[in-house]
Amino acid sequence: MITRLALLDALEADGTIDAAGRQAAIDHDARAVYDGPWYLKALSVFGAWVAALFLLVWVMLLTGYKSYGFVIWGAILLAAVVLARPARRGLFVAQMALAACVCGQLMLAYGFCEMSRSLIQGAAATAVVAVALYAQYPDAGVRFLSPLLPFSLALAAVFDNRGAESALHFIAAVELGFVALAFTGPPRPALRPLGASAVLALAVLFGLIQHHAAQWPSLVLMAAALCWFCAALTPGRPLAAQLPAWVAIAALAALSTPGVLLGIGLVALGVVRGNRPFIACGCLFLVLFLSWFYYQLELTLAVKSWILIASGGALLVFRSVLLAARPGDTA
Amino acid sequence: MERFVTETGPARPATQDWLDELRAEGVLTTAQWRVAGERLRASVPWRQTADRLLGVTGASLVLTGIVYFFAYNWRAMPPLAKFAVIDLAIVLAVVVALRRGLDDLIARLCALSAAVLVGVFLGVLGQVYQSGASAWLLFAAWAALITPWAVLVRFAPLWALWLGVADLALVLYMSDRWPALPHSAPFLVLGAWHAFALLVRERAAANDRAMAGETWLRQAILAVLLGALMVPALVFVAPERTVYVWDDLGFLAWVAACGLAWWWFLGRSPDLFSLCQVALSVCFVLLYTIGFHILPKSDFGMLFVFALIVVATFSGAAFVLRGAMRTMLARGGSVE
Repeated sequence: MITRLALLDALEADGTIDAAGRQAAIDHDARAVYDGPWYLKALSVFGAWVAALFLLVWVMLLTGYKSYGFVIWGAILLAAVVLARPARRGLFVAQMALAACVCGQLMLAYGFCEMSRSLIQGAAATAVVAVALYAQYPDAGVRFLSPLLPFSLALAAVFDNRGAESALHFIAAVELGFVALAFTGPPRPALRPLGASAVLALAVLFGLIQHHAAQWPSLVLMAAALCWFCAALTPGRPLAAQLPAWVAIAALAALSTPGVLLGIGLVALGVVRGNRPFIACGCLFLVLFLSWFYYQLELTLAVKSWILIASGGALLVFRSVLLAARPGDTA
Repeated sequence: MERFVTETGPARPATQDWLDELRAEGVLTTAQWRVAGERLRASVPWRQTADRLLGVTGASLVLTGIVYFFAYNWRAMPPLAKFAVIDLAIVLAVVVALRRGLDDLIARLCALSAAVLVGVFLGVLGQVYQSGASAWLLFAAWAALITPWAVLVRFAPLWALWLGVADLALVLYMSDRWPALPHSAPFLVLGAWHAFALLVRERAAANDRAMAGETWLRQAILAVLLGALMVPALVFVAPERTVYVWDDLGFLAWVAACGLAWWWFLGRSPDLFSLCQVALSVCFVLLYTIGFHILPKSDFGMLFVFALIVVATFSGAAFVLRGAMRTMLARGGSVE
């Protein structure tokens, strides 16, 4: 992968930026805050989650399991966190704030659902809280975790109503929209945690869809998203040049599941953006969803074995054709 | 949150996230951001990525299909045919690996498949000629037979398979031969075995650049090592039953493993992910100790105090790890 310095040098060499622009980018990089790689952030988020669970049990015992008590305490916790803006006040306070945010949101969600006796209303109310928190509290951990709560409640609402499984596709469309908003088009760094959260939500959704609902709406959705992504990668390319990729995506959609398409899309997105966690997650999803797909086929083991050999052989032939078409080209 | 300046920023990989930040803060204009994005995408090794993904997925599907085919026809096949099929597959995999050269990815995957098939062969051998031998013998024989391949091919996944098989042999041997041992003893032995494996891996990586690049193997070995030693350590710090000398030894071994791993992965062979594993292990043992001793004897108000302790512990870990990261970056290392 190309380094930042090499990219800046290349941009200066072709006249896209001048020497001052190059230096400005290097200076920006030197000033930039760096909180560490993803696993350091994951450690902090994990600690905050564990603490939030103890905090939650404590408040539950304190309020005597009263729903309005949950709403009041949840609101107090969130308001305290947002008003105090502790993100720049040291690691301990920042992590405590994250734990309080998680705890406050869980309490509000439980309180809303208990008071309204409706999971949908609870999901809607927590979605509003999540949006407000996202806007008011610029912490990546909070921004990643907050959208997952209304998503979980929406899933619970879907499975609470028999026959409403098709709503899963609508939720998938919304989450896919979040991914597109965060990672394509004009730069929106603030939306990146929302996009990462939506990727996780999509993996869960496609797992549920594979098990509980008709797959074709999500397949169409994912295939359309991948075609659009291909077109966005090569702007200005004529339709005829895009066609082979679209046909390949359509064929893949006809033969696989939304989860497999998600895995492929995530690997492609990770490679394009230089995002290694996305590549790793994409490969993981690919393995999981492919295994599940073949396991679920209602065929005998003999037929399955031929399908596996044929599809694997087709991929290897496709790979050989690619290599033969442009040998030695690795870029 | 503690913030500091990175000293190796320009040497880090260029990503679209970084370009987005430059655009959002006005360092790049929209036109410059667009051109930079196109240049970044042009630098992506698309064909290499597609080649790997297609090769690995295709080979995996074909192999799984072959396994399914024989699973379906297994009962109907005479023993000789079973052996012939597996032997043929092993020979085929080895021939392809040798013809392509052992530096090729497909050749290495073939060698890995051949190593897996050796285990299948031994399993069938045990099934056809039932001798009543212990299960650990199968895994020990499997590990012994694939050792020369692992040494020759120098492929991290093959070493991971070898270690997994050897682990199984060791665990089964202990439960078969030493059934009266306390629960902690097998974990202590497993930990010691992984400590040895880690030493060998570090030694090999010092002489072999290909192995040195495969840090995930080291991280996987360390995860099993710390996980295994944590069991006797937890029994020692929070005893619910009689503490045996194995638990004392296990606790001391865990402390020593954490200390040595921290020293090694901070200064000698910098690896922040491994340090993160050590920190997580320490946090877990510390919190388990505190929780075990204070929570059952207190009222529910102590839950709030414990939540504070949890946050303090993980904050402390993050603080120390960021200090370690700063040290690594100052020495010109990478933490990505």
